[in-house]
Amino acid sequence: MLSKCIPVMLIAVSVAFASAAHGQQFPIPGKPIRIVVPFAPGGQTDVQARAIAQKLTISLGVPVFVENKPGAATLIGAREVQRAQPDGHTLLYTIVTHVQLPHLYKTPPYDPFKDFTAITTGSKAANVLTSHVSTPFNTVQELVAYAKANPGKLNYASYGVGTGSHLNGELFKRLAGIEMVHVPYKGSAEAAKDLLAGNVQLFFDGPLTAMANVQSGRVKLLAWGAIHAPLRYLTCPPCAKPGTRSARGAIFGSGDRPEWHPLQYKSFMSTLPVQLQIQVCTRS
Amino acid sequence: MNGPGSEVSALPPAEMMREAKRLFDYQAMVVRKTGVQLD
Repeated sequence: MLSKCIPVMLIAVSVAFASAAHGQQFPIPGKPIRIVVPFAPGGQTDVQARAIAQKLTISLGVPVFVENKPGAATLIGAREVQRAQPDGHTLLYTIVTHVQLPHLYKTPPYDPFKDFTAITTGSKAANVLTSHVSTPFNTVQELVAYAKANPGKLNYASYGVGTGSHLNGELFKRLAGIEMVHVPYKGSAEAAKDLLAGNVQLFFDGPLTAMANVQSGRVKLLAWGAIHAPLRYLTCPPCAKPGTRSARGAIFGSGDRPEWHPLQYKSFMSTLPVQLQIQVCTRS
Repeated sequence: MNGPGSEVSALPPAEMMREAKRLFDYQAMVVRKTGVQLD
């Protein structure tokens, strides 16, 4: 039953003036700013990045656009930014996977603190666990019981191998002592599409795409991650286990270089935030 | 836009770097627990 709307604030940071740091003007007049999103279009990270790009275009006076570089657990997109000129015109809008990925390789593909400079966070969100409406369970407890009684019959989608979504699934398997087959996608939009079609049974998703599908009645919500349990969805047991927390939407600039470093970031951050008030309908 | 269950977060660079480092350490533990390796 949809009966209550709760306002949610989204802040897009705007940049109002060029920095004189190290004698380099920012933004370089006429030079577009590219925000690399390491996922396919349509997912939560992509949607947020596009909202930010739209505001930055207005406030900076140069075109700011999003480019999707999905694949390899955000590594393709991160590499793109790692190799870019460190002039502030190539940014990465990414998720917690950015600091997970180095732990997943014997030889880390990049150093998140030397090869990138953190600019700001965009939002924080917990992953949610959803299931196709036809699944014969409505709670995590029922899911675990079903998985134990039907070994090998469950699968779960993630928005990429090595992403937080995947790690949540693997951690959940270990904590619950169950087996599930992992089905990776290149972003949450693609995975959500297959969840809706019933091609996969479970999905550890971000709340933006997940809740739209839950509200449509075609997907069941089984659990939340543990950052902040939302006020209106506590009918499902919060999945308050280590590893379920997930910070989404962080902006990194290419290169830990002095010419694109603290002064410019200060100017990036010190300007007036633009706030958008959005009504999100939730269950009461 | 963010939807329920998520919150706006606009940390300044220094705090963001601290947060990233904290998450980096935390995720090392998470990855160890999952046993996932990509190479």
